[in-house]
Amino acid sequence: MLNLISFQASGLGALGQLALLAALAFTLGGTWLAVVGGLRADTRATEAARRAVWAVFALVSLATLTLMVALLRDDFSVRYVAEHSMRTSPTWVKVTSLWGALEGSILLWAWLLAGYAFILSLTVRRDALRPWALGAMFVSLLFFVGVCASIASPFTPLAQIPADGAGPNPALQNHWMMAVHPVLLYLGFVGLSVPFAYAVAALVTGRLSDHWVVVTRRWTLLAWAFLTAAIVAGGWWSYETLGWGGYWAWDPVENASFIPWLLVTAFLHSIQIQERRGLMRSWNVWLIVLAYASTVLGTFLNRSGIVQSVHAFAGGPVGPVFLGFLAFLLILGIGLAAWRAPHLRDEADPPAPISREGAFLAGNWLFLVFAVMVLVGTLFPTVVEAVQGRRDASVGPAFYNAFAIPLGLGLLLLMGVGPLLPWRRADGQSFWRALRPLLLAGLGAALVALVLGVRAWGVLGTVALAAYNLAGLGLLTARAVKQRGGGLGGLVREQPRRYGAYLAHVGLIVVALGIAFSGTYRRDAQATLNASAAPVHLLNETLALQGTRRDARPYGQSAVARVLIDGQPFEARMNTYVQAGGTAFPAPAVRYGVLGDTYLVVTAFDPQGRWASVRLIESPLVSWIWWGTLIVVLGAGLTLVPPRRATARVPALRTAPATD
Amino acid sequence: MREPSAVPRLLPAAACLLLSAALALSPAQESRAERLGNNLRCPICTGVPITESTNDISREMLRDVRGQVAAGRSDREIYAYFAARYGNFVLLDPPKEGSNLLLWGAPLAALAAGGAVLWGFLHRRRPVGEAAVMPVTEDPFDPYLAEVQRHTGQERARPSGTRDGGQA
Repeated sequence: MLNLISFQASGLGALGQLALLAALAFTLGGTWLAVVGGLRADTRATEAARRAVWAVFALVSLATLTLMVALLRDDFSVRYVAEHSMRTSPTWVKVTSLWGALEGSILLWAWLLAGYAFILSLTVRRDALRPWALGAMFVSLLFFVGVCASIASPFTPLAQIPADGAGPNPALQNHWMMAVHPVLLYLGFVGLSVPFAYAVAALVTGRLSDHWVVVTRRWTLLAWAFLTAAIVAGGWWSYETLGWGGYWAWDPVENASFIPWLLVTAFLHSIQIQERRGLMRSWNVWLIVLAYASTVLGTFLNRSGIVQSVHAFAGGPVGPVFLGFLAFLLILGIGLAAWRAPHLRDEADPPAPISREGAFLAGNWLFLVFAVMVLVGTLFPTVVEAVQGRRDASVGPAFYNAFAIPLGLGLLLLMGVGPLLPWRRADGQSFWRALRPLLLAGLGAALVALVLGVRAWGVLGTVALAAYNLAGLGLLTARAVKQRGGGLGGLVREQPRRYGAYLAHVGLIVVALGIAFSGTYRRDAQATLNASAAPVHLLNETLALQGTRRDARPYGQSAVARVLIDGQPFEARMNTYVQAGGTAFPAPAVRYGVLGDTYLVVTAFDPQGRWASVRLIESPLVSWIWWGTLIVVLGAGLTLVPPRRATARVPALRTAPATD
Repeated sequence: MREPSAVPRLLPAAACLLLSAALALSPAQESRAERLGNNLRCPICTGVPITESTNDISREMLRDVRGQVAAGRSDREIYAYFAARYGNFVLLDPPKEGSNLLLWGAPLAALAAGGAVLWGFLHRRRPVGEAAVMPVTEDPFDPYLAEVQRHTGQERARPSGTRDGGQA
């Protein structure tokens, strides 16, 4: 039996645990009320369930706040603080420790989930979907609050209170990005619980109204923007801290965050077909159920230790519980979808292959194949281990790149065609006429690149498709500006959704160029620099070691090499942390440039400070990935802005909602 | 992502330089050795190829790779050599044979199956009579209603995208 609470041992611990147990009680009550409200169409029960969400949010907030206070006050009577924090850490590290280990990260997840449920409870429309949407949120909450309050509680009593804590994971205190990436990722993952809740509600009630489409699309876009930012922030963290000059290694846990992204991106496009044409109803429900389930799969991989990864926290009882929840979600989703299949049949005829729907569906096809490829690659070593009883297979970047490059190029190709095509059916001749300038732009760009010495076919393809996409978006925008008159600003304000999507596409093109060039033309060289010797030539640069020094800090020390690269000072560090013994964590010095980064890692030091070994990495266009992502997120934000009316129109007829 | 703890006790780079200087490879051989090294996993790290790892065993393996490249052995022979010594575990680019065919075939199968489903969907035409007997769901999508909403400005309830099609 778990010993959950002790009032003598720790005041804050008891407060946090009580808050979690009370939140669990309200979650149970709320689930029951929501189901009653849904089954009997009892608005009072639904209203009570809605208020139970507020109580859950308040109580989980209290628990989170308690843990944060305990971390900041170094209250080592709280188990989590004793195990994952220490006195001498800087304050920002103590704050990020809240999600730096298993129990805290699940608490953060539960808190964000409660926060999303709270916002949903304030915005959800009074219709037949309401009790079931709340009920589905409660089911997710039940799982996360339940795990938090029991097997993964950060507050369970300690047998003995230590004088100082064990300290945070050194890899996570090496860079401030650790304050950003996990929170963004959880905002993205957890944000998908709302569309999932709407999908469950729609399946239970059999109502997939226009309203369902609009609401789920907006919530999904929000989650998608967070997820996009989080994935790239994780890549940036890797780039800035791990010292290998790369940002993506197809690590199982990176993959686990990428699979939901692929599925959600597919969903965001296919749901527009439903919005416009009333098609693809059951497909969309399937996609969103799979996307939400894949976030839980990601967490399971992350927490269970069944895959080898940098991110994997130590095992414990949490893995099987997540697997159980994953199975439950899949059975629930698939069961409901199968039960409602007759209701989800599409009325309209399928679209013509050459139409915007056709392009979206082909995109969905590639996104799903991409997701299957990543999933198979991630799980294959585990499956082999299960069959053969030992780890006898590895899947590295060679496998993923073999498929990701053609699939990515295919998606770029469709991305250019999509906005060009009309809904329903394209007239073949006018379509080819519209496509011609794009193809010419792409061909021209590829020729220019070829003349400039680009030989890698992946890069040539990316350059061609980038020009082709930009030409398409530019022509469409220019034509719209000409038709409307006035500037671009007014047009964007009238149709923020369309131009937000264009902007997001532009951002993706920038990211694609960054990935193609930095992946292909990265150069890497190593040298040992002597303080007294002449400067060394390495990859077109001149390196001179100015000196080394050691910075002692309460939580560890940094060995710093001061190197002049072409006259510019670089300070590359090698950090060691008191809780990690002699393990060194490199902190590279990076000079960001529009056309390329100069990246210096120090790999070894002479104890007397006479020499230092360095690794110099030059990769072109890396920063395009970060800037491109910013553009993507801005574009996604723009699509959520309500449009401004162009001209005064006939006053809208306020008809009663067709649901209810 | 690379494991930070794979960076312990770094071999002084002077020694590495000596190792690499021991064998003079042509630029083509050099890039081949690098590619092979990138596809061989350090047996004692977490998901790191031997080119990114600095421990002794990775250095030893990398030197071995360079030696075999210099001796003119094929990629296949070199991979087989390491698989025999350290297990298939070290092959980050799994050879397309045996059970690995499941791995390499799965995305292709997904591509084919998805393509077939998509083709079937796009070329499906309902029999004329079926629409009439189909059960009407509670709120079917009604193109006429959508058209009316569009003309009466009702689409404010929906985002502006309802207007943006069909102009290309």
